[in-house]
Amino acid sequence: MTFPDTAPNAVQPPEAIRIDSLHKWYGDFHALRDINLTVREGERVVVCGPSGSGKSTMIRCINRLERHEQGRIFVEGHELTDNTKDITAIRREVGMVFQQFNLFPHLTVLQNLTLAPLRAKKMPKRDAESLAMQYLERVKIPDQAGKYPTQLSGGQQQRVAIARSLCMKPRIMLFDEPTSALDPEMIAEVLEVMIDLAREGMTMICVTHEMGFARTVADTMVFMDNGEIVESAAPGNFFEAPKSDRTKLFLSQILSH
Amino acid sequence: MMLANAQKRTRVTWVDFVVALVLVLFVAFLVYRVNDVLHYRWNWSVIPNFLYRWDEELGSWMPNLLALGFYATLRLAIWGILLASVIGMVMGLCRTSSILLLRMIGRSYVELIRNVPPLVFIFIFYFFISSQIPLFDDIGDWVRQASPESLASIEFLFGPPKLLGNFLSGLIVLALFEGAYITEIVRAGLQSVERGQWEAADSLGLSRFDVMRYVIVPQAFSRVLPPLAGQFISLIKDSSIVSLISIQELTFAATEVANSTQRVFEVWITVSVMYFAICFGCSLLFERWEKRTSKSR
Amino acid sequence: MKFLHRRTMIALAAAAFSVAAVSTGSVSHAQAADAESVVQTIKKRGVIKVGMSSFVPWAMRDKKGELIGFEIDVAKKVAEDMGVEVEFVPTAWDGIIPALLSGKFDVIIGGMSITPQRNLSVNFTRPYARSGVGFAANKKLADGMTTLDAYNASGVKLAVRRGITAATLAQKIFPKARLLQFDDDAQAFQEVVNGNAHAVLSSEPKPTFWTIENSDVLYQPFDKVLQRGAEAMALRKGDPDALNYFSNWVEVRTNDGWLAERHDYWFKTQNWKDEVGK
Repeated sequence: MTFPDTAPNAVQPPEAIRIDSLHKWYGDFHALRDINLTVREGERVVVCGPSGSGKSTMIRCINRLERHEQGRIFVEGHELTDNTKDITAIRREVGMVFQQFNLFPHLTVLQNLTLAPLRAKKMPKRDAESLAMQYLERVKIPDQAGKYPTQLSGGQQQRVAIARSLCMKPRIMLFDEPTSALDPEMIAEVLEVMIDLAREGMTMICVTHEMGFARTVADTMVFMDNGEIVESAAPGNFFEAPKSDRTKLFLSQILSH
Repeated sequence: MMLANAQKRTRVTWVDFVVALVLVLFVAFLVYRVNDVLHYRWNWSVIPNFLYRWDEELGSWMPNLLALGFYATLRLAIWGILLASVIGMVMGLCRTSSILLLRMIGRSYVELIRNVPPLVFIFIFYFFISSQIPLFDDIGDWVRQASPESLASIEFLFGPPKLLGNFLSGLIVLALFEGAYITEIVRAGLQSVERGQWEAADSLGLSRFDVMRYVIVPQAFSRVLPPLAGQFISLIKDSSIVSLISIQELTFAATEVANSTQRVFEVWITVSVMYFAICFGCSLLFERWEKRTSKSR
Repeated sequence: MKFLHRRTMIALAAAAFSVAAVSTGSVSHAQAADAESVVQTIKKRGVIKVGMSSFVPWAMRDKKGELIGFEIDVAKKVAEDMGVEVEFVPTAWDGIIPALLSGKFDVIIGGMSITPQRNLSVNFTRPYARSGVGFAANKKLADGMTTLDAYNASGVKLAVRRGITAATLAQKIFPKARLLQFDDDAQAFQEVVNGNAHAVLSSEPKPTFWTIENSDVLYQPFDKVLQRGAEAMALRKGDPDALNYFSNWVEVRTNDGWLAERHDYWFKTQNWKDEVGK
């Protein structure tokens, strides 16, 4: 994570996401205050902060599940506007994984995975299914393809959800607290899949409290509080020498427990 | 869990015997009252003839008034359910639309119909609106000149061709009326689907239509099946109000037969059995459908 | 409950309809405003559409489910004399006047008694029948009640079919009695036979027929009809040609005895009873 004016290197990968002076209000509540963030291709950003700090709202703005009121957002060079066609096109490039998995309960695991390739990409059924099986193998549950989501454990469901996003071959993945709704013994199997993904060079923004995971994969740590970015730094500096008192307080609370 | 339930349901206890006994006694009491107190002389012999009669000229069995009325009610029910479902689906989508004008149209439709008594609505529609649209009156004149083959198919689908105009206005009134309630069921069903489902589908880059078609509607549909079945049964029973506008459905036929033969109880008991048959058939159908959709979950 | 305010609604609908008819002046292409008489319309179409409602022995269903009765004979004869086919539109009595006004059929031949109120919304021809409102009482409940005053008391229940002349008459002669209104005559009579009402008012010969048939339960306390009535065909207003045609048809068929002969067959004999198959 870098601010354009302070970019240290001359040769850098192109920008995947750029957020300029973003503001969002819910009625009178100022949910996001002057957010500036640039994510380059292949970069892994982990966003943390207390609940209600605006982390989820920020990443939900990136694929326009939330509308922003002020500021600009660019994804792969395309600005997010009210144009529905553009938004749909951008969403196909940006995968998202939710806290509550949000699998489609009326479809089998395989159908969950093939729906978007079939409908949005008009992929032939056979191709979509072999693609789906390929990703199910990557998340290590090919044998569950014929089951319905409710027949799976939470960890399995979240892995299916990740595979579902990957089937659209997105260039960017957004994770919105992917392990918060899981039982402790299932967190590891989901994180493992995410670490694999990071190794392969996927551009990722993860909202999570899993600091071990953050240390392993993050290129950049972002700490948010009260709707603004308080601090952003490389993980080494972030964990060892946080600058802001708010960051220190947060880290002491989350690491001690 | 499922097994335990099934066993529970089939076990007969003393409570069942008591309930059954009370019911039998109650029916016996009713029969006694009707026979000894009401001075009613039962005569069921006229009823079969008004269902089906032997036509000596044609040498075959012909449906008579009550059977014809039964078919008319069945036609009204089937077409009414189809048309009301289409209206309800379209208006339900309007009511949940993100476009203000569509929401206003949906809302106005529902409020207008729900807050006007059905009878007033029928009269207004039949006597004002359908008389303003020449189609409904002309269709009768047009049908008079149709070929015998098309007449036969019209008769099969819509009943007596001469009364086609009436049938259509009655059908539209019924469908518009019930459609308002189906709209609300559809709206509730669509809104009952969690936000997360919309978001997951949206974030995959599916088009608005695909989100509705493949994610939201299928889930909403299995949830609204039970209230929908109830509304369809209401529709079948409500179809009797169109007898007021010369549509010779079951209630109308029953009135005429009761008037002509003066066998009031026999006719109305027969007719209630016929209504029961249609409505019960409808609920059985929906029960099976419900089981099928819930199996796939 | 649903039908509690039915009459109010129908009155409302009819009133609103008349207003609309007057204000737009073009309610229907079948409306008289087109200047074409309904007689011409019928001739052109080759079919006369007759609005009626079943009412023994005016119009009823025989064993084959077909319409028979005095009025059916009248309508068939009219059609024959005009050289056209006849098409009956059985209509619920409550909706028969609005249906005529909105052009659902050409004429009502439905045992409709002339009343000043009705005459405000439709035109009547010369009467083709003169019936009266008769009376039949329950032997047990109305035992010894042989004066009109005996029935004009609170606690007395009278059954009538909704919307017919007898209903208005019952309110006039027996204001203190409670009126039970039914959608058809058979229900009204059955109520008295069942002992739930003291007496029933209806157009003759129905009270006589029912009394003969249920002589163990019913009797007729008065030997005269309560009120004489005149039944006529009803037409939409503003069509003098049609009024002239149908009135004169009645005149001609009265003079040659055809109407009297048919009337006697349906009202004085019960030779047709086998056809109905009671």
